[in-house]
Amino acid sequence: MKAVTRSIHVGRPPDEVFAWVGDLSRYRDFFVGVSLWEPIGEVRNRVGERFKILLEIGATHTGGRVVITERSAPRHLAWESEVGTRHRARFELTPRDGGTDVALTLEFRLTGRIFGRLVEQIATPIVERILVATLETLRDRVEWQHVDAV
Amino acid sequence: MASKPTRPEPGQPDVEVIPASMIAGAEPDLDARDPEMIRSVLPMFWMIATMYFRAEVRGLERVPEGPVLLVANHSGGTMSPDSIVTILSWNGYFAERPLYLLAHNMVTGVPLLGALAKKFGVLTAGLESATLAFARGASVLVYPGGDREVYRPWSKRHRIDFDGRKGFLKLAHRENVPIVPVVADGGHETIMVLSDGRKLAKLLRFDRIARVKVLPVSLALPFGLSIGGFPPHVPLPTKLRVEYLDPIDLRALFGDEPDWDVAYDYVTSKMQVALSTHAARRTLGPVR
Repeated sequence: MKAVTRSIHVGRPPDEVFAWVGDLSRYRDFFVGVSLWEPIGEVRNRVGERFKILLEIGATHTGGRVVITERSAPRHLAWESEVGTRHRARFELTPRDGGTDVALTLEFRLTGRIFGRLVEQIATPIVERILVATLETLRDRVEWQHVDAV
Repeated sequence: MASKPTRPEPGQPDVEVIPASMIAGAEPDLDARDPEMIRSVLPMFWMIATMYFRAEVRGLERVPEGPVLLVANHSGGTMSPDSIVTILSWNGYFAERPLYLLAHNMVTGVPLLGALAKKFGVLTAGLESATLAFARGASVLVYPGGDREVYRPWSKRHRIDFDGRKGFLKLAHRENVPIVPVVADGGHETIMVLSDGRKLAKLLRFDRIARVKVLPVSLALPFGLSIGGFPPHVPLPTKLRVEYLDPIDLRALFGDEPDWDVAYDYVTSKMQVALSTHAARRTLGPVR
């Protein structure tokens, strides 16, 4: 699988960051490019819950059904695909200097042999920019929610 | 996160506090703005923006009534194509709301170029100029990053870099006008800035002689290498995206005596999120 990781420092402790990352009802509020994030059943923020998701990349929306595979507050959250585009995503939170380093990794594998590998290469910088924008948005939401609420 | 701000160096005045009246040929002349001339060039701007840069503009409906301070990021070197799109979009949407632009005195103080710029409503950057414009009920566009941001290295093309300059915050707060952030993506794909040349500019004392803090080295069409903006270049036909963000009322958010560092981080954070989000929509470098 092709793997892309980007990270950012958020000036708040891990539990405040995990209040966003660990809340599966908030992903449309900060995950850039997500055009669909629909729970299959009730959202209880637990491992094993399933969602239909779509991510806008270039000219298309791609995704499928994913299952939450890891959730350990306030450190990790991960999911992987069951149906649709093969991928895994994982947030990792590490406390540092009173704040939190947040790393987001997306691994993906496209179908097709030659074109699959070619498009993976072309899509990688796009995915990188999506991860950067997602982390910037997450940081902004966590750090400034008290001001935005005014 | 927006680029880490730095403070003006000891002994170096913050450019925003230098009265324009002290700079030869750069005194603010609000009456020089020529609405007829601006209207006459809008078709050409439209053609450049629409056909060459395939520009998309969003968010003009968010701009509130009355005078506002447009705070924008600055990209693309001397040609700065996003300025064309911003001027076009404002004047097309708000036919009867005058807009003044604050610029370096290297623009307003130069014969011929300065006179032409003033017809566009360009004023030498300074509190004095902006205050006069607001007093007339006009709005003002400022690029806090100025010469530093417009020549930031290509690797930082998706970063907001105001270099810690907070004069725009104090201006908006003092005049009690809302800030409307304007974020442009794509302008810095029209030229490849290899280095901003800050050390070289300082070594040659350009920062003291001409208030120029950068001496950029760039790769651009058609001459290849460009140093200090010379020879002039032709921008690549990059797709441009410009977005007017929600207005920010500093007094409502941060009170009568704001912590300027906090207010600075807040405004640049909102702009960075927008710029990163637009960058994420870019699929093929300078093309789309």
